[in-house]
Amino acid sequence: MANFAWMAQVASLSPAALTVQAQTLSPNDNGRLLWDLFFPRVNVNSVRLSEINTVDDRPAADRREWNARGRLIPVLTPAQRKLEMVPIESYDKIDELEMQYLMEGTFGANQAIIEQQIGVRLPARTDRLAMAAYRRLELDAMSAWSTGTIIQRNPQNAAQTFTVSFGFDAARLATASPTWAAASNAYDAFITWFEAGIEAVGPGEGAMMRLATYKEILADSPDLPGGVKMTRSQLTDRIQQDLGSPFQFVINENSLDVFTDGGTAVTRTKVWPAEQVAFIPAGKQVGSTAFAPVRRAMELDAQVPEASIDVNGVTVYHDADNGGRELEIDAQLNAMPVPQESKVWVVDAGV
Amino acid sequence: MPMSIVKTAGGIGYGNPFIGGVNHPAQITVDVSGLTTDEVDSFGYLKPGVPLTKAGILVGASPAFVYGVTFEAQKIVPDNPTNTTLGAVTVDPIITVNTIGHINRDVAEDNLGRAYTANEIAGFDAAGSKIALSAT
Repeated sequence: MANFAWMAQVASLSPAALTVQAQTLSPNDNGRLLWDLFFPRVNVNSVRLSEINTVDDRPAADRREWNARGRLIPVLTPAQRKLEMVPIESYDKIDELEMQYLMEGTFGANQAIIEQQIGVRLPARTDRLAMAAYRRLELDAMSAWSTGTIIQRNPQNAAQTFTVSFGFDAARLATASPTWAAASNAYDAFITWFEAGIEAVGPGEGAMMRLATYKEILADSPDLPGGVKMTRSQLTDRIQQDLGSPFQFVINENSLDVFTDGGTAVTRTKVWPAEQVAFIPAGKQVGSTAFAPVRRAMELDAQVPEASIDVNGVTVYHDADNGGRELEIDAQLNAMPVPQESKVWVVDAGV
Repeated sequence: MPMSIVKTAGGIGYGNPFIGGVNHPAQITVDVSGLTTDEVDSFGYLKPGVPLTKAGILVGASPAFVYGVTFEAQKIVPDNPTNTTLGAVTVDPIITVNTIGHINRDVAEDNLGRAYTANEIAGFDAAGSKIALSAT
């Protein structure tokens, strides 16, 4: 870092300061990401997790005759799952000429606005890197929930993928047969599926799906007197009355820019997979997002304890190359969404 | 003066094609007459990710090898060059390439707007080249 003495002098550009700034960002991008609603953050002390899951433990005792023994309740060994995560990281590189221009501040007219928009200053760039890490978390959370898998891609060669499965019971990630489009009534199929979800998960308060699925349910919903179709609000109201409990549809048409390959081109991609419908349990919590410590954050925390760095949070680090002519900035997050199997009830509706 | 609205398109900037640090720069003269608007942008900058031989030309048929790859945009000709104007340049400017490292092929190809040629790909593997090309 010797060649970047100016960065240490400019307090706002030190890795610790950039990390603190990145950690003040809204992890859900001011409500545009949903991961922390369904998978709230939980700090863990390692990237290796051990999860204990008690699924369907409902033993019932029996009556006994006088002077006799009752029912033995056998010990249940809970299902266990050992998980190991790998980091989420985004980086940016700035070379000498660009740094020269940045320090000169010679963007001409509307300089301040242009700088703000393209994030020419380091803190703005690190904000972008940190939000990119949270967006990966969003994609992984929705993938883990809707498919029971997380796909790791090689950042330099996106064709190389590794799919890790949580190993959920197949009944919890079912495929509708017939599809709700082919079924005689998508509304009835939905209600039947949701009621089965209450049996499998417990009380529910809604369902997440894409708009096309929702429209199929709405189209097949019972007609009002006189053959008038229901409005969206009437459909929700009707379902609440049918179920006898609060209910809301969460239509997830959010999209993010996923890199097409190892390069710079992106594809705007829907966060929630088409045709998947997920049961939202009461309280909305489907699982948690494990935030493990980041080694470099621990290092920063040791250097500047007064900064109160969140060692489990997003961490920004920069490194100089080429005799100080190149700067690489990283934003790292050691986090992984972990759905609770007993709260997962998903169907591929086929529409 | 009539009202006027001029729209300037935004887009993704060039990515640095090197995975990891750039620590082995070398200065070479580049033969601009052999370049095209794939390698030189509309502002006259040589794009990051152009593989060049030690003689500063695009990597052609065997046994040419990739000596270095550009990693930051460098101004080499006036704005709005065409293949014709590039072909007519007779003064070779000095530019910087990195000579040792690992290239992210997708980033480089996105910068250039074209795929690396078979000769260029072979040039990374040819004896003499100290630059690896990522698998895609």
